[in-house]
Amino acid sequence: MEAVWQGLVQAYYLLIRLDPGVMEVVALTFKVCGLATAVSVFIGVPLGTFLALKEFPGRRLVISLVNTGMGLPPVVVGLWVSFLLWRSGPLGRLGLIYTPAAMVIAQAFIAAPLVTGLTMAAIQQLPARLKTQVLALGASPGQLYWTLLKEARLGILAAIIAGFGGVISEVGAASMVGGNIMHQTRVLTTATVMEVSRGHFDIAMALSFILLGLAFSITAVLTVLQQRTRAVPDGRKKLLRLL
Amino acid sequence: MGISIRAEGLRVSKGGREILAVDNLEIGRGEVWGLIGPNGAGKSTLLQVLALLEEPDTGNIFFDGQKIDYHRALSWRRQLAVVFQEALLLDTTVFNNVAVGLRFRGIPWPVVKERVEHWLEVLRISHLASRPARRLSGGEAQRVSLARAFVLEPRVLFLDEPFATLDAPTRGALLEELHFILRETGITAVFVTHDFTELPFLADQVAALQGGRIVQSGRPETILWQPASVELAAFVGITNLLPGEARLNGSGPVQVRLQGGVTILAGTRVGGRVVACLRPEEIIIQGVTAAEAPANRLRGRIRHIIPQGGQYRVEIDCGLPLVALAGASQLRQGCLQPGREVLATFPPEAVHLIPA
Repeated sequence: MEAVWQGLVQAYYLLIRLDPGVMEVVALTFKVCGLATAVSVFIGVPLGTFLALKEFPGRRLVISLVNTGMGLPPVVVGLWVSFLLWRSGPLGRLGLIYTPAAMVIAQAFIAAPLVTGLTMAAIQQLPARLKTQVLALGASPGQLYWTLLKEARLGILAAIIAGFGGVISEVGAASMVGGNIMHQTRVLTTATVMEVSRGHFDIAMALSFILLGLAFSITAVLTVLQQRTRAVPDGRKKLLRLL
Repeated sequence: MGISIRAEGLRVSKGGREILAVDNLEIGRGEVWGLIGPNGAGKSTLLQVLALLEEPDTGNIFFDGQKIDYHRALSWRRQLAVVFQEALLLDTTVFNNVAVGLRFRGIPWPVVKERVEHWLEVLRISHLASRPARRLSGGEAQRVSLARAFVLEPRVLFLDEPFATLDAPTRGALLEELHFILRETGITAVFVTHDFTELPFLADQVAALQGGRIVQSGRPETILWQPASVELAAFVGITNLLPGEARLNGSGPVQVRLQGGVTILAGTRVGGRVVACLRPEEIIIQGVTAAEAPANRLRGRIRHIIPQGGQYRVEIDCGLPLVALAGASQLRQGCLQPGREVLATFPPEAVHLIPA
């Protein structure tokens, strides 16, 4: 309990003093996780929508691969992205290994299957005839997709929350492709692991509280956004008030 | 102004089974067609194919004589509107739901607003405009669904059992409004229904489907009184289906000797083994002392009287089982009671014969 208390106090002082080292790590964490989530949404939402709505040969295989990807261990992703980006690897000449860009790539690989799979599920949960109804209203293919995405927005926001949760919490891939280099690729998760290995449990605990706070704040914003769009039926509202 | 529709050689198969096989169907401009048939008859599939929402395996659709390419059908699809059994409203306000089709078409906002407000008023749902669509009752939701279709000013309206889930008064009111709007606008309409009582009210023509094929088409009265098959007869509410042997008798009415030895006269000129179809509402039940009817006068005993909506289903044993319909006033007079002896009479024209 002493370590927890010390960690809390330490976190308080680090934040109050706006410790430059910590602020740098927080900013990089925010940047890398935000970009990785954005890339995974950019890939996962259209791909999930396509998989939910289109029939094509091999669709089940692709869906199986996406579902497998949803449980992909971060260290495996880190290893494969490292192989690709190492100087001797196929993409080595890009010089991305041990850079924030490499971390974004690795984390996007982790989050994209989550966003794809959950988007697909959200679209598939819409009433089966809604697609036909929207087409019958004269929608072009683009208008159809956009309308269905809006209808599935609760599920899609859940997909984005899951994707963000996947990247902000992982440490294996980030340290393998980023290398935890001070002022360059050190993020909250890798810094926490490093402080634990050094025996600085109070600092590690402080970083973990900051990480938790960051994760909570961003997820809370997304959750508020998600729940604001939810239409609660009148009867249910009354029931909630009674409860 | 409506569009004329012609369908040729339509075939649709699913799971290795042919579910639609329509060789020819012609729907004139401004005509209202009803599609009837039991579950799995292919009515909804035919409607979706005609509405360009499902591409047939083979066959062609022509709108106003022009062959439709299903892959370039958006401009045609934007001249149609479809109302389904479930309202399938989007998760937004009533106003936005009614406006969505117009927005797809890129109609300017002032026109959208004017047209949406007009149709909300026609369907008496203006007060719901800002309400979330998902909080409406079934009847209100279906009104929104109709407004969403009519606001598009379609040239063809397709309705797939739009009122099947509604209570009787709401259904009656919406049917009346639909009838009025269809007559006012002069658009072509095709509707699917399970309820044959809607046919004479709404439809100019009816196509009856069975096993994916059109087994009969024509005026609603023809389908209801002279169905082409025994299955169709049962579907359109003919409860008296009596097997027998018909004998042509010169130019006079056909004599039908029914199983059980009773002989009746029929209006259809068919000989040989037949099934005599007699609608229950054609049978008049009288006391045994009533004046003699010229023909088809069967003496029998009432077995059961079963309430059926506002009427009563009277089952009579005349040596063969007959079902008639009686009003409440007849029951109140006390002449209809189980066990009582009665006369069942009906004109020969009411008896339609289907070759067995």
